[in-house]
Amino acid sequence: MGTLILQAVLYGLVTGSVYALVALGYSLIFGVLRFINFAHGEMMTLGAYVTIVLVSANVPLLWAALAAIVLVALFGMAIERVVYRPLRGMSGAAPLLTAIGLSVLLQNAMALAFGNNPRAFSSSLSDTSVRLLGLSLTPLHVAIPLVVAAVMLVLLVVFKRTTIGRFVRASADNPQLAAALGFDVNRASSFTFLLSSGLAALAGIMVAMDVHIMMPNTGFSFGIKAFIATVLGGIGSIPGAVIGGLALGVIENLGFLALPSKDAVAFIVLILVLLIRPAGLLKVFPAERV
Amino acid sequence: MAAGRQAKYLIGVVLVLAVALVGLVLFRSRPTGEVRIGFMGPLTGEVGSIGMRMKNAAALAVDEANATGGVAGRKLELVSRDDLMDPKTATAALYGMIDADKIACVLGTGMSAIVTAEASVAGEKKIPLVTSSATAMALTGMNPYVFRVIPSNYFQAASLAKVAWQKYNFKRIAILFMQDDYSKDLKDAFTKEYTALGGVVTEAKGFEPTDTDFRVQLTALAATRPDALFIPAQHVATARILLRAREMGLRFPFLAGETAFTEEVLKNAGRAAEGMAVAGSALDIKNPGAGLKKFTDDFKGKYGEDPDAYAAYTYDATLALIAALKATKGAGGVKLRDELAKVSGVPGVTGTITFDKNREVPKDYQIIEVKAGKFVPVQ
Repeated sequence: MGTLILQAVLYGLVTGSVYALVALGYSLIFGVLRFINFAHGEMMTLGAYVTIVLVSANVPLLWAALAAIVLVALFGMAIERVVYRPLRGMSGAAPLLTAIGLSVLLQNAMALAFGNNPRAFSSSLSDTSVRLLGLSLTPLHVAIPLVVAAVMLVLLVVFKRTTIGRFVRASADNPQLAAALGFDVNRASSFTFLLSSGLAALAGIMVAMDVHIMMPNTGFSFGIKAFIATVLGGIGSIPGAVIGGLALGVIENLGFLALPSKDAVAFIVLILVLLIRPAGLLKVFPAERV
Repeated sequence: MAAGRQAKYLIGVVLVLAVALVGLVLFRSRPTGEVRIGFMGPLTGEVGSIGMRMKNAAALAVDEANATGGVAGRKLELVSRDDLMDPKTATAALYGMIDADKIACVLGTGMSAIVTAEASVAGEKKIPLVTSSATAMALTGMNPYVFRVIPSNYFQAASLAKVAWQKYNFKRIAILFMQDDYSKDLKDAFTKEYTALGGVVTEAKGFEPTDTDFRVQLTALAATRPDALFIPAQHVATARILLRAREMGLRFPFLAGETAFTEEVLKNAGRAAEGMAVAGSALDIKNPGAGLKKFTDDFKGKYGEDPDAYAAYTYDATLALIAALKATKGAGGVKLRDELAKVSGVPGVTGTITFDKNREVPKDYQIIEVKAGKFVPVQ
């Protein structure tokens, strides 16, 4: 039982660190634009599919992944410009419903483009495992948390030290005041989408390598979990996204040892957070009804 | 003015009476005209193409029967309705066909949940229903008006349990099942049959259809030290589980249901699928016998596409109904139910149709093993 719990915690941290990457995107976008981008999971799927297509055309994995991340980041920026920017300033329901519609549209577009059949994606990183202290680990299990940690450190520097990072933080803090002080809210919002979509693509690629098989809706289901992690950690907070992601990954796996359904565990977490501490663990924004 | 209004009123009354009279005549002429067979199936939507093939297969059987004189001198007619994959729609449509179209019997060709709803209407109205698509075990013995030509989930699970115990000599088996009706059926039937033979099911763990992880379940199941793992699930999840288990270094053999008997699993899981045993289809549509070959050719000639297994079972369901209708000279209801229960030795394209005491056609599944990346029948 001890090993079982240890293994559940360990796997929870691996999945949780990917949740954290995606949760960060939800948080950043909410910070600047004050809505939940429910089409965020589709950026994961797109990143994974582009990588799979490139790898099957014999592009080395690293280059394929980089190309996919850049492509999806630019695509996310374009979506912000074309779809969300005209809606800015409207009430909460308009961008939210648009995001849900966009999610359905993108899922179906990807089903058309890449086929509705499952696409296999295995790499040498996840084909074999080593046994360590009675636990089984693949190189990917080690790589995922390391990559996520590195990305988080870079982001902290970006947000604390660079001009564009300060733009984003100022816009997130108070968009009207930021605009009045001469910050360009459009630039902040473009940058946020560029960054969030790129992170989602990276997360999608790691998920595809980890679950081995992609479907057009794989990112969506994962995105919902990451959204729960965002709420758990406290929406709008970078450390909150990390803590929420890791916590959800572990809670899910531990709860699952007792309950029959993993999704049920995640949704129980969501309900409890909304009841007890609706602003999340690290409170940035006051609880809001969406 | 008053006279004009009165005349209009009279004309109105006459028109209404005329329509009513015509309606009455048409209505009365029905029972002595064609013998109607109802068809309920998914004709649009996601599985609409499968539904259309089933409808075409039923129409083929009806046309062939009509070409040789119909039933007791009366022509057969197929009346079809779309179930829209919705139990409420299906129920309403079936009531409509029974009350207005006066069908003698009905073919239920939808998903298990839909056919279950139709089956309760059939029981209430005493209209025999034959299904060629629903495999849920809950339908077995649901009411005396329900018949089934496609093997229920029970049969593949029983065949798997037998091979696991007798051929592979597995003493302990763990189960990782998808949380849907179909997979739970397989889990339950397998557990029942395998423990009856003397085997031990060490533990059964479920997962949601959206789950892609499986690590916690696999770790827990591996801890029970089974000889093999049985995976009742849809094929994408099955492939993911195979890959995950191999990645985790779990080396026990795998068993899976008919859903895993597809090239997709071999393609997606690759080497991880090696050695897995699955329940093959009870109907080998790729290597057809003489009857199935003729049906395939006739179907293709008439509709321009190959039939699938569901179409073949629907053709046989229609043959069984026609055989019973011949015995009742076209009468439906209780008489038809009793004759249908006696149907035996009718040469169908999926095998000989003989209903057992549960009004089903028992079938053994060929167990297939993955060897060097190919499906090979187990001897």
